[in-house]
Amino acid sequence: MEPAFTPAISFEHIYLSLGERVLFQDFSLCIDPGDKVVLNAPSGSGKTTLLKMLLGFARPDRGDIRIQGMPLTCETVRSVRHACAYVSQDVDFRDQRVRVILAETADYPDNREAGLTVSAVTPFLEKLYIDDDIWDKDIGDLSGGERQRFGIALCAALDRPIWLMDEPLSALDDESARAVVSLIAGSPATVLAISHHPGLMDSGAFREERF
Amino acid sequence: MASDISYLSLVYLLLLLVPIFLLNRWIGHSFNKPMFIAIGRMAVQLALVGIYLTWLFSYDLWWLNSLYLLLMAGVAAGSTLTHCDLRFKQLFFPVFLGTLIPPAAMIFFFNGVVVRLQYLFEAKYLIAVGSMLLSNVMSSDIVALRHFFESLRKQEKVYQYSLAFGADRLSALMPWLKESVSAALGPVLARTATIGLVSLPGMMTGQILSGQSPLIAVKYQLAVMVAIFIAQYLSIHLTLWLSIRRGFDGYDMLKPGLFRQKK
Repeated sequence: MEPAFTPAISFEHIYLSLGERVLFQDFSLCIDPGDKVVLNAPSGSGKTTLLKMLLGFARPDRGDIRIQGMPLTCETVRSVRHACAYVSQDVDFRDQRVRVILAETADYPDNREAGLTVSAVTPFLEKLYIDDDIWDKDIGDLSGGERQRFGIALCAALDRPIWLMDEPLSALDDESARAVVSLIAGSPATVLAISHHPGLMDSGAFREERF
Repeated sequence: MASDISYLSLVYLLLLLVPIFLLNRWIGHSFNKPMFIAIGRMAVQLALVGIYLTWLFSYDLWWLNSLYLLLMAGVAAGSTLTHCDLRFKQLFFPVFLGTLIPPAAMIFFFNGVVVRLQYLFEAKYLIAVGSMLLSNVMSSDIVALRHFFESLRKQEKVYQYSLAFGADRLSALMPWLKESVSAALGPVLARTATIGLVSLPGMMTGQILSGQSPLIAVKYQLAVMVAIFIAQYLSIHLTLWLSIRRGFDGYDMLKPGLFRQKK
């Protein structure tokens, strides 16, 4: 029977090998809208690759990926990316002033209607205990934890329906981690996270998927 | 007209390499082999150029001169790709067009509007000015393409992050495009700004030696320098733009077979 509503994310029979190494063999996963899922698997098993496949940065050898029912193809990849906000493990912004990063991001074609301004991001920064002097710092001068929280605040301000997060708590102290978990858990977005931190599962808002 | 140089005089000049050869041996610098190969290659190449340019100039046919220009552009495009460790199969055509079109347009403008030739394909101008433009365009294209693809490959995660945050391919690539243009044109501008102070350019020196008045030589040099700069600027942009169209897949990712394996 067909599901009653369209899943937010679905991997259907994914196969992927890198050289001799088989990463995915008939892997399937379905995440409903608003669900919050933590992926749990050993290091090197391809968790980050799964997130990259969702964004079209890596391609499976076989199988289908759908975001909000949209099959991921060359034609739909822009729309798929537009539905997702991504926080990578190292928050890979170009090394420049935080204010410039925001201005450039706001000027990208997909964000021109998003109202991404300092005043739109500041409430999220405050929730994550980041001082407002961050705007005049170089991103390279921020600590790992500050970078992560800035990336998450930007992701929240973009207000996209799907959040993809790669180890979002890895560089955070307990207090900051609790603030981030509270922000993610309170969001209506569908969240697919990779995390070894117990904070996400302890919040009760996430279900765990092992593979 | 400048006085001719006898073959014996050239041999005298080459004999000056002997003390350099001995000095290299004495200090144990393994420079002799590449030095003799480079100078030998140059001598053979120039001898061949002398023969076939004499032949081309004697016929001075528009199609033959144009064919020669196409051949030079093809060799320049191949050399650009080899220096950048990029594959011919994926990028020869875009780099060839980017190398050919701006210099070709510039030559015809130069011949028609600046020098006011009746016959735009005159070998003396088409080939001499063409080779000058093409060699300079090739040098700047090499710097631009190499900088673009190497730094993008090293910072692929940053590029992907821009895509994830809402950039289209061109917006995401813009920082690398700007950097590559600056890397290629920065030295050109620096060299241009010191001409006449630090160095007298080869073309001007050649004209003066061949009996032309310094003022006319300066005017030609000025025209050629501006033509070179415009051709370089346009060629860098066109080559990068065409290469981006061919070098990325439908998902905005660099095509995996783009780079040659380094030996």
